[in-house]
Parts: sequence; structure tokens; C-alpha cells
Amino acid sequence: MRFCDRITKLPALGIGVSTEYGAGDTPHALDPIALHAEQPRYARFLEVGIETAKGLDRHARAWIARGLPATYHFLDVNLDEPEDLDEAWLDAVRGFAAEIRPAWLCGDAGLWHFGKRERGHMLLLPPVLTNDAASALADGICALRDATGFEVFPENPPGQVFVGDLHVLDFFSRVCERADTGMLLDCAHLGIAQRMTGHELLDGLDGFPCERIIEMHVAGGTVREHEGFAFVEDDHHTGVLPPTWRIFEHAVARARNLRAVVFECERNASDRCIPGFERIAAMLSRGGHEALVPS
Amino acid sequence: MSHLVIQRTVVRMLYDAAFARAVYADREAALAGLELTPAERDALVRPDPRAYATDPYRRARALHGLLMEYPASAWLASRATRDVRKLDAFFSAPEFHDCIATRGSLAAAFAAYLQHTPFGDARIVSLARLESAIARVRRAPHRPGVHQTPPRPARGGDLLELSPRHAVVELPSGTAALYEAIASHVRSGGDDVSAFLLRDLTRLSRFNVPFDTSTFAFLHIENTLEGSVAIAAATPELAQLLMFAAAGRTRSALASQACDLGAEPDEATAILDDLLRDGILIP
Repeated sequence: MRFCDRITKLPALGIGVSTEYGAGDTPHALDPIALHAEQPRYARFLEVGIETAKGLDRHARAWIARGLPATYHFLDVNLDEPEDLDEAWLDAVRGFAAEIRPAWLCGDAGLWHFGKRERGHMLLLPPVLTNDAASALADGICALRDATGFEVFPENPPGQVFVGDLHVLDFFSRVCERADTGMLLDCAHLGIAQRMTGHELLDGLDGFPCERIIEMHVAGGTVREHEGFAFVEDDHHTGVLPPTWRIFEHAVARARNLRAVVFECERNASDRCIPGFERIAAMLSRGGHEALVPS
Repeated sequence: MSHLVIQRTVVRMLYDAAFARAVYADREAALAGLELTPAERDALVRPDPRAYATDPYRRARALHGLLMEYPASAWLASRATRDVRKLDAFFSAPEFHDCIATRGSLAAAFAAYLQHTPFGDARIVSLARLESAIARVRRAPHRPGVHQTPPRPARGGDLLELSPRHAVVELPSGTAALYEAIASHVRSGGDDVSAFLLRDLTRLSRFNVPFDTSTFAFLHIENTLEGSVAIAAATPELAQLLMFAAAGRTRSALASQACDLGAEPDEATAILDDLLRDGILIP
């Protein structure tokens, strides 16, 4: 079945929050369950970031135990390296997915670790933006989808060094086409990529197949400088930078199959996150996605 | 798959500013031997060179993780160099670059670096070998609370091999005691191993552990089901049998080897049964 047909079976999750192992233990960190109780429209689902070596923490388990909706965000696979999708890892993913019962799998489609999946090897780099790498990444997405039975949506990763002759959106357009899948567009990451590669903020978006955007991420960042070189650190602070909002607003209006938006603010206090949620909800409504923000 | 070569080269440039500078200065020379087209070499130097250096703590973080795994050899090396920060040179060493280029293990590469670097103290080499074996068994699957690696499919025949949760090493007498003494001393300094190694002025003589490079002993290292690592002396016979099993052997070959090492045939069968039951040998 082609993705344009499979897409009809995907649930509309609305606005959600993210977590990863230990994030909920950060002092004063947002409590997804409490937010779900107090402001359900801003925490309709939980995106669980999983490194299989660490597993699920008590906060994620508590959410899952309530039977609330979730997505599985992988943090430990290089999809363009066939040997990285080994049976041991796939079995672990299937095990966690059976617990979480996610609507889909998703995650940054970049280099999560150099060498084998091993302690001390972790990092996150964007993919090499070439045609061959797009094909390799698409193959990995198909392999993971086949092995788990879940849709797998690649996310454009952050980074300071982008290498390759393709624009990041052209690259992911090819990935989605070849894997016949949807996309998780991270607006903050896209803003970083545009800046680092010398492009205008919205370059490439009009030519991108926005109907493939199923999920979007919004997150805060901080402009830093090193030896006179300015860059954005993707620190998931609540202070969302103006370029991120602009990309979000532009893409939301074009992503007619959008099902979910995550405000990545997992280590911040709930009251500091609310303005961001409110702005996301308002933009979704203006962009024609009222169904994602029920009152 | 040249994108993987490009990606690994990016990693090397991120960790090693000197290498990055060399690539920008003369990419043909610095990238000699790599299967990259001229266009791919050009692509590596298209970003602003400062983009490779935006994380000034990348090496320190990675070194910190390695010091946690190599507390004893790093402690001794910090004595030899008079500054633990000099171990940061690992990230510019061939062992590091080979590790990244060949999809190797960073912990194993660090052990090789400690063994190849002329610190002028033979104990560092022995401790690095021991801590490398510990790091290796620590990486074997079996973590409580997470989904486990399924049993591997049988490889055919009756091949048995040493479990990755176990290792056997032959080291100079006194290595294990020296490791226990120094590692527990470093652990007493708290979680920030780097800071402790920087400020610690303890003399080696305090540990008073005899170390003899003229006599050797076998050590059996186990990643226990509880998640801790146990080190025990192994008899030469058991050690040689387990080393023989490391690459995978038939049961009959192992039984024959046990007999060659002095066991009676019935005894050899019982030994193999025990090793299988204890999970030291696995199908």
C-alpha cells in the first residue's frame, strides 16, 4: 500500500510533549502527566526518546501505564548503515514498541553514534547530503518499517557541519520519496541548517512535498559564538527563536496531512512552557489544523 | 558507500582540530588513502572551518568517559605525564583515527593508545590490558530492565564459544591487586574522575602492591548477571581451555583440549557441562 493510502490510518495526535530517559528527573522539569491533567490539549501524546541501552524511565512508564497515546523517537540508530540495524537492536526496539504501542516511530535521521552502538560513541550529526546517502537512508527506513510493522518518519537533524551537494530539504524529499514515507520536520533544526549552509530561512520549502509532513517539532535554541563564529545550539529551552516560528508557520499552512506537533521543552518548568504551547495552538488553528487543537 | 567515509572523516575533524586544519590546508595530502572523489574532498572543506570547532568540550567529555573505564591505567599515566590532560592527545593519535575510520571501539582504541605510548611504566600496559578486558565484557548484552538480546540462532554443528560476558587474560603477577588498589582509590575521589586525577597527589608507593613482570597469572573477568564485573584468578588449565574456546570450537575439540590439559575424559565432559550451565561457554 502506498503512503498516500497508508496515511489515512494514522491518528491525529495533536500537540504533545517529548521526554527521554532521565529528563523528568531534572529539577522542576515539566511533568507530562500533570500537564495532561491540567492542559490536556497541550499534552495529548508523549514522544518517548529511547536509547535501547537505557530503556524507559519511570516517567515514561507511568504515561504508558495510563494507556495514553505515544510515539517512539529513536536515539540510537544510524539508518544509513545497514549493519546498525542488527537483530539485537531490532529485537529491543520491538520490545519497547510492544510496551509503548506507539502511533509510529520517528527520529533524527543522522549519525547517532560513530562506530558500533557502544557507550562513549554517542553524538548526533546530520546525514551527508548526497544522493547516495539519501538512498541508503531510505533503505534503512524501509528495513526498520518492515522489521517493526510501524511507520518510520525521518527527522532532519541539527548540526553545525553540513556536508554534501544537496539542500537539506531536497535530501529529505528524496529520502521520503524513495522510502515512500512521511517526514518529521523539526523547525528549529531546519533553521539551523539554513543558517549553516548560507540559505534563506524558507529556501526549499516551497519545492518540498509538504503533504508528506506528518509531524513537526518546535524547540527553543540559543545563539552562541565560538571564535567569532555564530551558531545556534539546539538546547530545547523554552525561548523559541523567531526563525523557528517563521518556519513553523510557513510549513503548517502547507502540511495538509499533519498529525502531530511536539513542543520539545522536556527539561523546563511547565509554567514556562505554556506560552509556547499557546502559540503553537494558535498557529495550528490559523493554518487550518483546528482538529489538532480541540478546545 | 562513500557517504560513510565522508561521515567518518567529519567525525575525525570534529574531534581533532589539528587534523581539520591539515584537511583545510592540503586535503589531498591529509585525506590520502581515503576513497573520496575530488568533489567529496572539496565538500569537507566547504563549511566555515570554525563550524568544526563549536563544541570545545567534545574531547574533554569523551576523555572523561574513557577515564571512568580506565581509572587505574589513567591514574598511572597521569603520574607519568604529570598531567592527566595530556591523555587528550589520544584524540590526535593514530589509534583514535583508525578507530573512527574502521568503525572500531573507542574503549579498545584507548587501551591500544595506552599500551603503545611510551610512558616508561610497564604497569600501565598491564593495567590497560586488564581494563580493556573489563570494558569488553561490560559491553556484552545483559542489562537488567531492558529488552535483551535474543539467543543467537545456532550456528550449526555443536560449536561452543566463550561468552562475551567473560574474558581471560594473562598478565604479570600483581596486576589484579594493583588494579583493585588504584581503581578503588580513584573511585573514592567521587564521580568527577578527571578532576580527581588532576588534583590527586597520592604516591604510588602508598598502595604497596608487588608487581612482577617476570611471572604471569591468568585472570578470569566476568560481567555478572547483576551488572557488576568480577575478577578472579584462573587456573592455567581453565584459562587455556577458555582461551581455546574464544573463537568457537566443537564440543569434541574442547573435550579433547581439556584432556590435553590434564582432565580425564569423564571429567572433561563434566567440566564442559559446568561451563555451559554457568553461561561461561555458550552455543
